[in-house]
Amino acid sequence: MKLLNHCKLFFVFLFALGTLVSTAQDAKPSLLLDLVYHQKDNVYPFVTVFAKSKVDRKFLPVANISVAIYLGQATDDGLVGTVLTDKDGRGMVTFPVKLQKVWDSLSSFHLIATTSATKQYESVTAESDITKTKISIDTTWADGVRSVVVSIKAKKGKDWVSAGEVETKVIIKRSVGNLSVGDDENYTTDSSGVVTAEFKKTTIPGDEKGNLTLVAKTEENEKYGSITIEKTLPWGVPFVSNDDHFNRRTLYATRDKAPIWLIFLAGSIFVSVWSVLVYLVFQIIKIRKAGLNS
Amino acid sequence: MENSTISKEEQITRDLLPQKFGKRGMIWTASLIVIALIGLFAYYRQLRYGLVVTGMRDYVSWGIYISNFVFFVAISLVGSLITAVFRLTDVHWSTPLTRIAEIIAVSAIVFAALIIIVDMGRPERFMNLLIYGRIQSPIMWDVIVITTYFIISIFLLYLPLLPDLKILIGRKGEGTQKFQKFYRFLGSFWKGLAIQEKINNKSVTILCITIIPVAFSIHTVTSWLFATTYRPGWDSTNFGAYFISGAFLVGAGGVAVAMYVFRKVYKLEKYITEIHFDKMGKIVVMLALLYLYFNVNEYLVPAFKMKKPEESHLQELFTGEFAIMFWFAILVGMLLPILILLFKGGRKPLPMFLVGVMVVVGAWFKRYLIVTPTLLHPFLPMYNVPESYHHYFPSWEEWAIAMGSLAGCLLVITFFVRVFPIIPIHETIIEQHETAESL
Repeated sequence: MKLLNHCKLFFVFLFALGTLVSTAQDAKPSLLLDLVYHQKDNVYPFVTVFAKSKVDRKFLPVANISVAIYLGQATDDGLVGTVLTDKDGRGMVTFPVKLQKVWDSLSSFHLIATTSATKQYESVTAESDITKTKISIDTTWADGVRSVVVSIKAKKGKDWVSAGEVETKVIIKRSVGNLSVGDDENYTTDSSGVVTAEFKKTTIPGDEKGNLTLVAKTEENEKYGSITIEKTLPWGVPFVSNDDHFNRRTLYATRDKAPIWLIFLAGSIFVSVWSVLVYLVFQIIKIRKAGLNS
Repeated sequence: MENSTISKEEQITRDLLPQKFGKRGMIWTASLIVIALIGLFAYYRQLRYGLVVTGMRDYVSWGIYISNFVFFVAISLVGSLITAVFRLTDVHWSTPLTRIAEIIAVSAIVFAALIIIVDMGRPERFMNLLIYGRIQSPIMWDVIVITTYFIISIFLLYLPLLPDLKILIGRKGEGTQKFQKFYRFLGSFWKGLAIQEKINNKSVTILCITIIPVAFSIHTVTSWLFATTYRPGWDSTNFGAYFISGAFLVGAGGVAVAMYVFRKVYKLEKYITEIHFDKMGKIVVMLALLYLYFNVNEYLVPAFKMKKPEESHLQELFTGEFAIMFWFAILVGMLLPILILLFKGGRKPLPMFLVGVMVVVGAWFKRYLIVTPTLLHPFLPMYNVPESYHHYFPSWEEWAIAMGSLAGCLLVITFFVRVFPIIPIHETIIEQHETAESL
């Protein structure tokens, strides 16, 4: 009897283990969703999402995930848009015109992003509370020192109030990557919502007129999202196209910069040979005419 | 005497007229069509799924297709050798071989152009080469020179054909009956007038003069596709001459094979005689020696210097992965033909045919050895790449397309021989007259 009980216990244990294993195998991998609010140059905003999944201790992007983004409540009225994540797991949606009045009237708002359940992933939701902000960029020049002044204001009711303690980047936009304007790239707004960054990069080249693009932005701020503003100023060194190797007529240059001697040589060979061929066509015509006339 | 001359002319004409395919001809043609269709199906797969169906990857981006392209370009050079060089130097024994050489040239150059488009993977982008092409690029020169060579070869095939078309028009024989409309379209205006003969001869001479530099250019430019890049095995100032000598050899080998086949199948022993084989054999042995000389140059000098990347490339060829193929190409493609052809008995029709086959097969593998091993030996080490990138072996689609293109080339020659006389009738008759008069 005791042996029978032991056997029963053993089978119960096996069954439980099997159930556990099969449940573990059936469990879907978890999907993580990042939701970021963006606003560029204080104009109408957009929202980005990033879908990822943890595989072997690494976060990997998940493509083809349908994400619905809502303003306020997850209802059809509040639907900002639906987006399908790309191969990098990212998607972007701009605010539709139908929500402009609602958005204008709000000083802070709630964003919701919800994914549809798939065969691989359960449905997940990400939410974010955003306070509406305004960002401005200005410059000062005193005692030969140029400075960039960035001001951030948050909307409170109907008023705009200074947004202090906001981490802000003040940078110069370059073709690849960015440069800090001074010694630091990151600044924090003071109680009046202002950041002043001394402009020290006085020798970097701009465009032909010396224009540089200054950028001030917050990055994925929990309260305000990612807000950006740009300003173009003639603070750079005017770019002079120098007569370097890439602008000369060489064998390795672009097609419009082929060496003259090559164009002439190749062209004259081509014309000579093809002139002979055209001449021969006329000879065949002559042979034909002679035959027909006879 | 008059009657005997007429009957002799008639006999030549009857002997050289195109003939219907026999049973063997039908099997041969059907086999070529099947191989070409398999190649077409493989190309359809390549178009549908992309170049991923090939064995080519990041390092070996020029595989069997480019080897095949170089082979076709090489064999096409024979047209200029037999037709132009011999005609300009007043060598008359080559008359029965001129059309064989020219149709090989035309057919080969057509498939050289096609195989390049196959290699592109995205054929619809070919026009970009013309719209956005750089005149500084040897690829652009290659496109121009291949087109030019093709047009000249067509002219060189067509103009000497005009007198034969007059003979073909109105012939009620079995072999020519159904092509009468085609013959009339091509040459009904040829009446054999003195003025026509004069213009025609002058035009052919101009063509012969023009085709030689163009033929040299086509193969020099093809060699520059390799030599203008800085890579082990290709970084050579000798490549143009090396390629041209190799091209002459494979072309002459191809003509030797074709001579034997046409002689046997169409019973042309009276026209393609043992003297032709003997003389062609001497040319092949001279060209093989010349090509061997350039090969010694190409391998000895880098081997002597032993720069590291060259060392690894040469070791792969001499004793490594490609050693069997390399020594096969050297022995079968050059050394054995030289040894065989040095003896008079080796220059008889059958040995010449076998030597021709050896030269052509050896030449095909030689082109493969020029293209692939170098690509597997870049200057920067292959690091952190899939194992398959370290080796190259063509996929079945590549083999099928390459073999399909070879079959297509032979098919063009086969159909040409079915429609037109492979030995110029008119020129043979004239030469018979001249020989009779000189006697």
